Amino acid sequence: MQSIIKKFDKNFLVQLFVNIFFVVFGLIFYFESFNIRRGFQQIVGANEYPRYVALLLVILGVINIIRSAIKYHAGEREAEELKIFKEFRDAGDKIIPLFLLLILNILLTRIIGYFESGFVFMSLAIFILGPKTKIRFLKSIGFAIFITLILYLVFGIIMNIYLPPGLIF
Amino acid sequence: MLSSLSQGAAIIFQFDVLLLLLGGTFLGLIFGAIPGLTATLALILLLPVTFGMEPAVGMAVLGALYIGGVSGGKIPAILLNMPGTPSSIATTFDGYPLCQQGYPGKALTYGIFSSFIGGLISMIALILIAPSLSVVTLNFQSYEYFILGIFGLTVVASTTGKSLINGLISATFGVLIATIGADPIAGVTRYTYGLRPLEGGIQLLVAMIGLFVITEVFTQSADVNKKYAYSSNKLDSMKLEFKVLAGQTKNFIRSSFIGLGLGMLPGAGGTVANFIAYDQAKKASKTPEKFGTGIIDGVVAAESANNAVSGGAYIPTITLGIPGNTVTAVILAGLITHGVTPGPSLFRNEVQLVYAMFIGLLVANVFMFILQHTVMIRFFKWALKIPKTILLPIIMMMSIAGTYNIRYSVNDLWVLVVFTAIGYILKKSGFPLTPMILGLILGPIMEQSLRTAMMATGGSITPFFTRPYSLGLIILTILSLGLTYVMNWIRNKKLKDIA
Repeated sequence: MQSIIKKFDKNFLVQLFVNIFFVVFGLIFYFESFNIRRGFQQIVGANEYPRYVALLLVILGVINIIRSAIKYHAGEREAEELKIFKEFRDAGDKIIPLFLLLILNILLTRIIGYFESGFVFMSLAIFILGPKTKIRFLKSIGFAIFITLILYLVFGIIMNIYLPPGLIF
Repeated sequence: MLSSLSQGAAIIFQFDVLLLLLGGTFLGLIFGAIPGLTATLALILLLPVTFGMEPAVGMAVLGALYIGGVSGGKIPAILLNMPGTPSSIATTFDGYPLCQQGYPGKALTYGIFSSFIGGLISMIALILIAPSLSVVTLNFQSYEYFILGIFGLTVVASTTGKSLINGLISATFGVLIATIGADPIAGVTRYTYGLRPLEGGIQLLVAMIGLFVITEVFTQSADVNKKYAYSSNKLDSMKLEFKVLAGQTKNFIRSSFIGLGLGMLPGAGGTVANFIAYDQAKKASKTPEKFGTGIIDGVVAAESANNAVSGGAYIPTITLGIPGNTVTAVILAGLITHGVTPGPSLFRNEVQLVYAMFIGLLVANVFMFILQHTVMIRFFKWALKIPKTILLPIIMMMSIAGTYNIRYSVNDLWVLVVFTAIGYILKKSGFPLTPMILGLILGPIMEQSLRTAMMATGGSITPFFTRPYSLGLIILTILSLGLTYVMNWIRNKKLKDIA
């Protein structure tokens, strides 16, 4: 894998991957449109409109792949690396855990409630985003308790917004 | 028009509504003032809060957030040499040198006044131009609506991001995603794959929170440890001098009209206006060599222009249903969320709402002026002390609450996760996200228009080319695409020649 990445320009590979995603997405929607009903007395059926749009997405994706392949073949490289590489190099240890915490938070929201899972999420998120020391972890918990109470006051009491109820709130 | 304006004023000039507008402007100013947070973020995050309000009031509050968000960017631009929003970049050129020389108060005062004048001129223009334009657009039928959708998508796709084709792919992807769920005419269920949560389609606001808010949180997490350093802690006099103001009259007018004109063009936005107005002020000046050294003319030009964009951007949004920039795309989404169909029919069906929005913008502009002159500077210093390590998780929690609040569905939270992942990867790979959102907004309108038009003609596409408005829009679409292609070709050729 490493040798492939070294052999090809990494910007080219990412853009190729994204364009393939669009083509595959378009193809799935295109073929699925044949399983959709047309609708009663329709000139342009409920199945035809998305079919044309999907086809357009596939065509544009293929054009983009060919275009970037020609550029790559001609030796044209982008001067700057894509932001995705820079950000993952600088803050990958924050972005990935934050994304996983978002998923954990949603899972917990259903089980223990919005404010309770929010407390868990914030304790960990505040800790992950800063320097990772024991004292800071305790501070993160303190901040999370304070912010959860503020959020409960604003959303739960003042604005009276319905959020998944939990064990305490 | 006067009776419509007074109807709009009757909605806005109520104590509780004014209080909401004041709060909206204040929050917008905070979002604009904190580098990394933007007006777009403020609008998306607080859109769910407006659900309980009357549509006219909710839209006025969103307008207040917009005005505050655009104006707040100048505070860090002048005090920290760090523009709070991209539309304040040119403000740093002379604002920060003035601050370094010990005149932060002077730079802020004239910046705030310029924002006020720019906003005022563009809003008056909005009130005058939009109804006149709507007289034309009210003649539009489903043929024109469909072509208008294509025109809007192609213009935004070609003006946002570096690549035309990436923009077009993003827009088409948005239109395709919008077909998930029940179709708008026959009610046929599409692309749900047996998943009940998808039957109601993709909620626009959920997609927006994922694509813009959480994606931005991830981006911001890369520089959470950034410390802000003021070059000057003391604030000099914040008094306006009539002589200085009189000397800037031409600058105010020229820059405001540049902002207004560019705001009306979809995709151009405040950043471009900010630079062009600054450049024009420099060219028109008798002392162009002083620009960049701390001259008040530079601050006036940059700030008048970026605030004038706001009124300008509302014109295509209200009359055509095509947003002038990302923030007005959120305004458009706000209209849909409040059950109002955007586009030419707005002036026919929702006159009160439209004029309440206009009056709301004017009031928010006044609030912006007062707030920035009084409490905002002190509050800004306090707000910047909140570490991003705490701020970002709070924004994520607010996003989750906002998403859940749309239809009380945990499944929407999973959709949020999917859009966050898609948004982050696409944004960082050079695909603009605004065309995708516009595709989601305009997709259902375009489908409904096309299918209605085809029903009316029995399947003939001839009226698209024989109706003058429709033909005009087709020509405009081809011209805009062609122009973008030629401009890109010239730019690439120049870059090659330089290399």
